[in-house]
Amino acid sequence: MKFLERLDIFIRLHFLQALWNYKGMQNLGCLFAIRPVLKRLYSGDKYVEAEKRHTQYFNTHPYFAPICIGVAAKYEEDLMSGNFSKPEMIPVLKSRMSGPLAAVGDAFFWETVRPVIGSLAALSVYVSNPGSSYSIYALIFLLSIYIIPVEWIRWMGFDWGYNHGMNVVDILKKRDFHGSMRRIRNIGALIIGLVSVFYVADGLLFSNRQMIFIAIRAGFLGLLILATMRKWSPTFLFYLTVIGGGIVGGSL
Amino acid sequence: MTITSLLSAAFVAGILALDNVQIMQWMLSRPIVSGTIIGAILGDTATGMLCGAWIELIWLGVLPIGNYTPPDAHITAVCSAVAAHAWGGSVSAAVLATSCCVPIGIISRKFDHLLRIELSAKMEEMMKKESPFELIRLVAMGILPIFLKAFFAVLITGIAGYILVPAVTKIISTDKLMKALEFSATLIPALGMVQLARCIGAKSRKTWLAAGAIFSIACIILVKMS
Repeated sequence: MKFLERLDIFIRLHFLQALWNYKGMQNLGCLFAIRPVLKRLYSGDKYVEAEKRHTQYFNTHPYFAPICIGVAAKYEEDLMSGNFSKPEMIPVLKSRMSGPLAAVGDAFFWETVRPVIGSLAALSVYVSNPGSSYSIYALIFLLSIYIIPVEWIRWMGFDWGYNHGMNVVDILKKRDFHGSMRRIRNIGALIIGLVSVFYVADGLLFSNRQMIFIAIRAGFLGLLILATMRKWSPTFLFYLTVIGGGIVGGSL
Repeated sequence: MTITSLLSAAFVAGILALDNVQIMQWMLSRPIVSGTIIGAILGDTATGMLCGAWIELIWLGVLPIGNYTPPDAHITAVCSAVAAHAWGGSVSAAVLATSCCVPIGIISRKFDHLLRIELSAKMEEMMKKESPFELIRLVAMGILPIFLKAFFAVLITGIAGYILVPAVTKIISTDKLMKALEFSATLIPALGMVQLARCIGAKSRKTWLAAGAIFSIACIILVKMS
């Protein structure tokens, strides 16, 4: 595959979810991304058939979709060269991979990396003054440690799928996403332990606030833990915080 | 807030909104980032960052998994940043603005849901036609409403904030209410910590939690002793 075609696909992969819909989910985005390959390989009725193949239901994690698209691109080339003879299997194979990849991607990026980085960025606002140069640098740093790996996976993911086909699962095992996820979650737990003590004991360390403030914060943190365990909505908890905090703060 | 800065903020908010689902997904539409950027455009980075940080912490554990559409944290953050700036830019104004703008994020989710239904209908219509399909037109159709939604949300919030400034300033300038809202602001980080704990399954990571807590207790004792 030529570099320019590869670059074209890479750019198109960023629009994967622009056409997200309830019926086919990422199907049209996937077709949009793989189109340069289809245009190179087919013409006339065969091209129409190939496009139809890629409009079937498809949904996975957006950062891992390039892996499925790489596999599909390879099968399309094999189909054209005669090394593969079942075109109807291409969407099936693509779909078969999408589930496990979505599970890994959702757990790794949505449930682990994004909340940890988001909370670090938000809590850094409290460490320094909001809007200070330190807080801006912290934000830029945290954003870059998110964006660079994401773009690397987007670029390399297509190669992994294209070069290894359905064996790409072995490549992912070698990358040890589960291990990385566990380590990042451990760091997240460490940060919570660290920050929660500083948060509660803030008055002890930095000012001469009365013990009542420390007691309120500790009690409030405990109440929030209980409410979250009972699966109370975060939006409701926010309003409870503002109103409850306002009543307590106003009466002190 | 000048009309030029408000229009610039609305335009940038519209562009950043696309990062949420449609394009890139670089976390630029996360409230802490978009709130800060909109705050910087309005010349009040601190308030924008504060509003963004709060929204980030509130909805940290609300995740876009499967076909679930979470509340629109981006639009809540940018509207909060604009409203807080219009209302004076203090911590109490930021709490008030964020409280008022949270429902905008929930309404915006409904809009996203309707747009996706519309896109599904368009897709079915398209499938009846012969390929090659007009994907570029459809991409534009998927992107433009999201841009316009954020653009007008910021614009309307800015104008409403400007109109309501005298009345709201009268309310929040009461010393007692300001003090109360400032106190509420100090409790919001706790909400974020609990949300993060839920996300990462902190219940099964007690050793790491304890290690963090012990380390910070040791630091506090050392600082107090020195």
